[in-house]
Amino acid sequence: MTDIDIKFLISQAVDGETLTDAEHQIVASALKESADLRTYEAELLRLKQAMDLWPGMESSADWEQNMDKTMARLGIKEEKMINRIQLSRNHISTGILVIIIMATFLTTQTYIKRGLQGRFKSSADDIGDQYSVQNSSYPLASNDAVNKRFAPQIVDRKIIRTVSMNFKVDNCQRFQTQVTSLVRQYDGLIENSQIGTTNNNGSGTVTFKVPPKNLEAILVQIRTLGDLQSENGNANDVTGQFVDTQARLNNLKATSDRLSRLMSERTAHLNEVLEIERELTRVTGEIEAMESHLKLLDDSAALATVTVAFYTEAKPSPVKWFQSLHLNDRFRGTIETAVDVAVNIFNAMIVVIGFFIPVVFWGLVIWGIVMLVRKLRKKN
Amino acid sequence: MEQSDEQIMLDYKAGRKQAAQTIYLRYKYRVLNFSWRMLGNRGEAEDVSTEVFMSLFTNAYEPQSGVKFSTWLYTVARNKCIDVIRNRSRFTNELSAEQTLEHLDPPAVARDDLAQKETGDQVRLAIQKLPDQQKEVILLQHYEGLSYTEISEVMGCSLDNVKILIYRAKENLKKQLAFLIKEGGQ
Repeated sequence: MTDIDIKFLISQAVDGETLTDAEHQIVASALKESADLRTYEAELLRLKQAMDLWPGMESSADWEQNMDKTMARLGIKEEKMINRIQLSRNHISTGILVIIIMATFLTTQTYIKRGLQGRFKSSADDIGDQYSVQNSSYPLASNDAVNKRFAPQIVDRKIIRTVSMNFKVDNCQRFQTQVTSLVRQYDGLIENSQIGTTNNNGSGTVTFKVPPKNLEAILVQIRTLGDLQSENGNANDVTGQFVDTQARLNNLKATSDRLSRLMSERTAHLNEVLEIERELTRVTGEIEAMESHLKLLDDSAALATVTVAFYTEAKPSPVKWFQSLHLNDRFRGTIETAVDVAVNIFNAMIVVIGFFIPVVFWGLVIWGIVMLVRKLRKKN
Repeated sequence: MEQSDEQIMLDYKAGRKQAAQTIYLRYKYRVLNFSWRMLGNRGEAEDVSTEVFMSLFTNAYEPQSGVKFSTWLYTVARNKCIDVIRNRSRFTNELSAEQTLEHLDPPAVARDDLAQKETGDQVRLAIQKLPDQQKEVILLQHYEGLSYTEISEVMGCSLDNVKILIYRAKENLKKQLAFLIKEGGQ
């Protein structure tokens, strides 16, 4: 048995394929005797581990929804159930919207009245009077406490930064290597890297992510690597979206707590318990979705994305100029055309011969008959 | 005891429509991920997966035929992926492995995961660069857990051919990922 055959067997064994007893023995003794084969086996095992680092992907919500609809149409999944889920989602969205509108309206109304009361106390209405200093029966808060309560919240800003740059370079490969090494130096991550050649021009792109604190430093370094043609920067502030989602998340968590309490207290009717359980499942799902959205925003803001595109311009050279004439292709084309013409003429000749064979045959027959008739006439 | 795929499909054929949902839940991620790894594009992978399940729902599989269900499903998925790749190269110039790749993960990951993600990207690139048949055997064997015999049925080639393809694919991957695989590597 050759080394390759034994490697086949080792590869199969590593993949969990069943080997016969004889094959097992061959593999065992080969591994015992040969250090190379032991190394080979170890490499295969490490390769297997490395391949596990390519993770799978989750399905998108759109696709899931389409599949649900398809299955409902085919009667595989209950349409009622899908409709109910969608209906309840719609109800929740409408409910949240109504609550937000009402809260905004009440807050605005209260603040306007409080403002008016402060400025034109005489025209304060009953609601405003609740907040007036004179009519208040509540103890007044100290200035510190008021300041603390109404001081603007200092929020960690969430900004998604993206930069795109375009360079003219002398050597694409070298430029790509230099950018890659800078990315590593500045704690970055290469997200996508490609390079290619069309005709005599090279081009490529490198997309990477770096911590925002290193962004300016790495951009300064990259600008020195080639002839910068254009640069665009963008900073998208998602703080508002983040804070809003967080607030909604807190509300949902409170709802979830209330439902959990209800679950533990309510024991009267099974229907009610089931209803609460369904609602709790739905709320938990919404919480998970919001948490993942928050994490996505947080992660996106944690690293800035930079896309560096680059290209080279072909330098004119005699060899390249000669190549660009494509003489080889042109001569080949001419010769192919000549061969085609010769074949076509030959074909045409065959057709012509084919056409004349019966004509000649019948001509000969008629000529023979005429000659025979003439001879007979002469004899007579 | 869990019902086998073939039993479930017999139920479906017998008119218990909802049996197909069990199969769908069992295989949706596997089909989706196989297509995605073959094509490197989420949109196309989802389209292919939809078509695969439509074939399933429209009774294309015959449980009595003796063909194992998972083998049949992967064969359908593979053929549809090959159709997509053929159409793609008919209408566009051939794209390099890097160009056809689409990044799956969310835009950012925690700093601690950066190194691991980078290694994962390199593995993905290495597999995408393999010749088509070598890539298919690796995806089916390693990521989908099919046996050599099942792979030979899916690909319609001999068992020996599968062994050779897997051996060559591994040799290629070892070369490309030498920094990870060789002793003293990362």
